[in-house]
Amino acid sequence: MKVLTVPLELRQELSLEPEYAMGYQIGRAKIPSGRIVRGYILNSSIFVSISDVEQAKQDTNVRLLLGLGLISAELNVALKSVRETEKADVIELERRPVSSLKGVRTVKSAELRNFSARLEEVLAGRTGAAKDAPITSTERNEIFRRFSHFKNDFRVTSSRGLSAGTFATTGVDAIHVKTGMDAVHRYALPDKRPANQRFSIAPPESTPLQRGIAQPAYGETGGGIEVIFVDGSPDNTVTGPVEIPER
Amino acid sequence: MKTVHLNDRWKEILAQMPESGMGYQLIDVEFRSGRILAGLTVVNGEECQSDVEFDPNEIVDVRLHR
Repeated sequence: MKVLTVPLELRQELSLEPEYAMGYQIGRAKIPSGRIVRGYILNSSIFVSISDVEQAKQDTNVRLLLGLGLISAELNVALKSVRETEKADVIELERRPVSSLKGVRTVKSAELRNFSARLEEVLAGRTGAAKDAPITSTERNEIFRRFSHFKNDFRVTSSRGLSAGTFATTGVDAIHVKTGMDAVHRYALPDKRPANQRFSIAPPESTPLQRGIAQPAYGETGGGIEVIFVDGSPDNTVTGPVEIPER
Repeated sequence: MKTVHLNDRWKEILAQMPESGMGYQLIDVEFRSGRILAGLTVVNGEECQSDVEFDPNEIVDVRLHR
């Protein structure tokens, strides 16, 4: 199964377009090989070819995997067998014929946030820790956050960069962190004082990065997305900290 | 659990070493006597958490815990 990540500039355009059904759009994407492929677009951020979904459905083991809950079983199966990711260059959406619509249900924003977070997990390389993940790279205009108990966080250099091997999280995942204690729980931190100093990191495109999920540790459940800036982040890419509530 | 403050020298060295998680590192500390304390958690490169007290001035080396 191959999943294409949708470039950030395209995501913004797609998010303004109607869905084909709940949680997804259908479109044709030009893949890196130059081929045009028809597929599902999930959360305006990832593209899965329909033929790959059909193929995955034949795999009994894949069928047994747990569901995401909000999207159709076919897409669910597809996401659980993600093996590699590439970028889609161009996507042209298909409109769903109005006659094919059978009904409408209101989706709570909390459900959508949860769905989005699960998709981020998929993009983060399933459920493993960042240290065990392959080295990938940042996308253009991607934002990251780092939570610390310290205003003078020792990983932030005097020239406002990050030193090599520094942990952070994605901007999307950080939406879930409203307080310093949220960060302690979500990123399984050993220091039980609130990590209520929030730094923002805006690295250039293609900065080396490992993406994963914070594993349970120190009596915390973890589960947040963690990233490692393998070579750090260049000068003048870190701002803050902004102080958030402790609890 | 006690917190021992490491000297600035070690903080600078730890800042150049990879983290084990957001804001902390797991380290082994070697003392002048040859004794080694392994698997200590150090936060922000300066606050080292340990079950036993030690004199930070007696440290001769710190390295990441494997």
